[in-house]
Amino acid sequence: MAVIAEHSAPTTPVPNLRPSGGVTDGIREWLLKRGILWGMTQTPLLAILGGVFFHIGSYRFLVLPMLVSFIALPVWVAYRKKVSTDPDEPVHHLHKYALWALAPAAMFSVSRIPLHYMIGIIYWHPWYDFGTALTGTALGGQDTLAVGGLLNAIQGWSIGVGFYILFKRHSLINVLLYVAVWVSALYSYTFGAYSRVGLKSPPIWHASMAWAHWWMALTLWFIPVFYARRWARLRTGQRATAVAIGALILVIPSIFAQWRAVTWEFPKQTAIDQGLFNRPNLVSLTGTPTLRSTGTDAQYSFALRLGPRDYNNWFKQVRTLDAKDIDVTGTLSQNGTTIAWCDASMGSVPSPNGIVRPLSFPAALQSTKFTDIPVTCRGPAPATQTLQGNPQVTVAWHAQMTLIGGREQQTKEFTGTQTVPVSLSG
Amino acid sequence: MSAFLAQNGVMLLVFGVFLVPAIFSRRMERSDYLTLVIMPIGTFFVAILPGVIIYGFDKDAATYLLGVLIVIAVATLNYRSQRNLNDRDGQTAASAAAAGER
Repeated sequence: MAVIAEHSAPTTPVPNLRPSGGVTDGIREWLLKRGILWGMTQTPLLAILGGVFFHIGSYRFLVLPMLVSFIALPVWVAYRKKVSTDPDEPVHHLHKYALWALAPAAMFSVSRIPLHYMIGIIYWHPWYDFGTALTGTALGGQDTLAVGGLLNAIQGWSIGVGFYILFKRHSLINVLLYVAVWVSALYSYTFGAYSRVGLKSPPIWHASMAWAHWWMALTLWFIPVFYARRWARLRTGQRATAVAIGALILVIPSIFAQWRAVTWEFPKQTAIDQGLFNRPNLVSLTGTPTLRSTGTDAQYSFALRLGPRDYNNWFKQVRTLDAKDIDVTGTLSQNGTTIAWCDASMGSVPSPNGIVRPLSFPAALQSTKFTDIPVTCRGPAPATQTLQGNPQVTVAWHAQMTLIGGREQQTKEFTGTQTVPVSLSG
Repeated sequence: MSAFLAQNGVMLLVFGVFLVPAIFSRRMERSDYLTLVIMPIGTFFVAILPGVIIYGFDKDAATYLLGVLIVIAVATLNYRSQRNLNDRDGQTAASAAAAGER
C-alpha cells in the first residue's frame, strides 16, 4: 500500500522500536525530552478544564500557573537546547510546532461552519463561558465572545503543540488516534458531565465534535507534510499566499462568530426575550387569601405566581426567566369596602441559571418553573367579622418588576382583580 | 433504541470512518504507541472516574471508554504489524549481509 508523506522530527530513517535502557531511564529520558515540555504547553487546557469544567478553582486563579509556565518555558527550552545531544528532541523544533499548531486549532471551528447551516451546530456558545470566566464580563457580549474565542484558540493550539511534542512520528494514524478519537471521546464526556447545563447532547452533537477534531487532526498532519515537501520549493509570492491562507483560517472562526452574533444571535435572543416578557398570565394570583391573625389589626396573606419561567434560549439551552426589584401593592375589599391593604417587595427570585453542574440543573429548574411571591395584607380587625358569614373578597393587586431574559431586561407592570373566598383557617 | 446505544453506535461508526485515512500513513514509534496506551488510561482515572463515581456511569462515560478501546486496539494492531515488518526487514538485511561476507 502506498504510504503518503510521513513527516516526523526524527532524522534517523529506521525507527527504533526497542527500548535502549531500563524502564526508569526510559521514563526519565521521556520526561526530560518530552514530558516536561508537553506539561508546560498544556497549562491553558488544564486551566480551562479546572476552572470552567471541573470547577476546582476560579479560572482567573488557574491562569496563574499558565502564565508561570509560559514564563518558564523559554528558560527550559534554553537549558535543554544547551544540554541536549539529540537533534530529534522537540525543544529544537518548538518554534515550528508553535506555528504549525495555529491553523489546526482554527480548523476545529472552521469545519463546523457548514454544520451551523446544515444542522444548527453553534460552535461559539462555549466561548462566552470561557470569556466570562476570565474577564467577568457579561455573557452575550461581543467583548466576552472575542476573549472566549482567543482562549478557545489557545486551547486548540495547546492540543496541537502537545501532539507534535508527544509524538515522534507525526503520521496520520498517530494524530487521528490522539486527536480525532481520544480527544473527541474526552470532550464527549467532559462537556456532557461538566459543561452542557440545560442542553441536550444528542448523538449528532457528539459526532459533530468528532468531525471538528477530525479536521483538526488532518490539518495537524498536513502542515508538517506541506512544510517538508513544498515549502522549500515555493517562491516568495507562493509563500506569502500560503501564509495568508493560514492567517485567514486563523481569523475566520472569530470573524464568523462575531458576524453571526450581531446579525443572527442577538436579534434571535431579543425576540425570544420579548416573547417571554409578553407571555400571557405571566403573573397571576395563586390560591386564595388566608386570614393569618387578628389582633389590633387583621393580617392576611396571599401569593402571586410568576411563571412559567422556563424557556429555550438562542442555542436551545433551557434557561429561566429571572426577575428583580419586585414591588407589589394591593387591596382586599368586600362589597366595595376595603378591608386590608397589601404590599410586598422582593429583591430577586431564585434562579437556577447560575448552576454549573449539568446534572444538578433539572431538579432546580423544576423547582423554579413557577415562583410564588408572598404578599402580606393588613386591615382593621372588625372587618373580619363580616367574613364569617360571607368569605368572598375581591383581591386587587399591582405588581412591578424588572424581568431579565437572556439578553434584555424590561421593567413591567402587571395588574389583576379577582373575587375569591378567604380562607379563615390560617 | 435507547439513547445509550444510539450515541455509542453512532460514535463507533464515526470513529471507524474517521480512522480510514490512517491506512495511508501508519508510522508509529514505540514511544508513540506507549503514549497512545498510557494517556487515555491515565486520563480515565484523573478526569473520568471521579465523574463516574459522583454521577454514575452514563452514555458519555461509555463513549469515552469506546474511544479508549478503539485507540488502544488500533494502536496495538498497528504497532505490532510494524514491529513484525521491521523484524522481517532486519532479518532480510542480516541475511544479505551474511551472504555478502561469504
